[in-house]
Amino acid sequence: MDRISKVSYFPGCSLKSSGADSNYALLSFLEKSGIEAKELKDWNCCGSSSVKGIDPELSDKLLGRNLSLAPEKMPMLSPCPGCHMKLRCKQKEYAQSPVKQKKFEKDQGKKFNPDLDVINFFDLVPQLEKEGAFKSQQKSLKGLKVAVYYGCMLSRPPILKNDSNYYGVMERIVKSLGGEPVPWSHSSRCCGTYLSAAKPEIVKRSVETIMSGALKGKADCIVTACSMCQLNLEMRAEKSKVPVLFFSDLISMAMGTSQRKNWLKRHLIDPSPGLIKKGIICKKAS
Amino acid sequence: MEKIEIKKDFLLKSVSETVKEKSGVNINSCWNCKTCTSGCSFSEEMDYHPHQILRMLQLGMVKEVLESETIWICVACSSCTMGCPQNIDMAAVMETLRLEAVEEKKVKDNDVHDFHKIVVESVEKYGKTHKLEVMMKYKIKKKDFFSDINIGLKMFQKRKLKILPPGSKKPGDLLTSVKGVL
Repeated sequence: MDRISKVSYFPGCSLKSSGADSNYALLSFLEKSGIEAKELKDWNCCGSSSVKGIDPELSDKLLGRNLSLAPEKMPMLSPCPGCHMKLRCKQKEYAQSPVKQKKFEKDQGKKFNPDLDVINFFDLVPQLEKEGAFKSQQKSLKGLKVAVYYGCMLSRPPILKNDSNYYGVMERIVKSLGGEPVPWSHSSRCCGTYLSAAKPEIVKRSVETIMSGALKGKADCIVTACSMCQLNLEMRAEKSKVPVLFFSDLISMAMGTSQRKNWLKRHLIDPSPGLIKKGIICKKAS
Repeated sequence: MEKIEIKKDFLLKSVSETVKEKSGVNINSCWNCKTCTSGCSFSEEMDYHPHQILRMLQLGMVKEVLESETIWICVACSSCTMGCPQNIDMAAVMETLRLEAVEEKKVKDNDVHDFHKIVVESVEKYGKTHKLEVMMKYKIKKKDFFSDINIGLKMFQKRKLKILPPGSKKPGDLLTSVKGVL
């Protein structure tokens, strides 16, 4: 495969609000790694988990519109696992069905591009690894025990069953930064997404299971692949509390200290005491 | 004997045919091996486990299924789908059941459905989701003003919730051209 050097960029609502720092960290990292990312102009919500169940027609139009905005001859990068899954499935659905393509063209007034690749940041990892992007000068996570958390990111609907999966990608990044992924049983347990708002008691019980599992695995922190998971785990943790980092935090670490200042302050469960104890950061940086 | 109320659509065709038509899933290929239930993160919170829902559908117990809590606790994470040895897309079945339940007016004062409706309003208004407004509207609808106030304030303080919807820099700049398409 050719080196990907240019992508169009779909941030999604979360990375533009609750995950603004992650977005910034990710974009600077891409820039540093020689990948040009251009945000789609006037993109709209992917429909989140809500629209499809209320109005499937609207959901189609929202996803179709985003796909129609993507420029040709470059992949579209959507780092949020939720948006990514929906966009990728819809692209594939259209690509497989001429009838649906006609519907797309009628809805969007544009020709459907069957060659568009919708990718996640994790699809870029093999290329980045080859180029040594995660090998910072020092092993920045040395001694840190990390419980890697994928949530629902590893589960896929049948339409994507032949696509490559992301098993082990975060473990590899953690290891190459000097950290130690711990074995634990909840790495692909669902975070509860919107139930955190609609039925908080359920999510509190589930998060307690996840957090106590991480403690049992002797993890110093949990690293998530999704900003929604990160937020849910932090905000619904009551009894057992382990700091939860988003994987862009790891990326910030790979990039060196200057990027760290911002994200450390934004956590609901302060990760600095643990990180100071392990010597990952010095007191001044926190 | 008590009369069992069965939906017309489901009577004209068999339940399995209707589900197949709407979700593309053949529920009759289920063995009831419970893999879906063991992989489910929230099966403990459900009134019927996922494998029970499939069995009930096979038996034509449509009313009970559409009135169950289960279909609203499922967040469609697709763990069940991934694990199924019979290739049943359970998450798609659940999605179909939620739409059916709404259509059949089996949904009253449902927290999850209310939340979804508020998100859809936000998307229709701004083209994007405005998390702060969604949360506030939901709390007002549920008349629940205090349960999450501490977390809400903390999130606000940590700049995780923003006053303006995403992508807009000033208050006048709210609507995206998404309107043209919807």
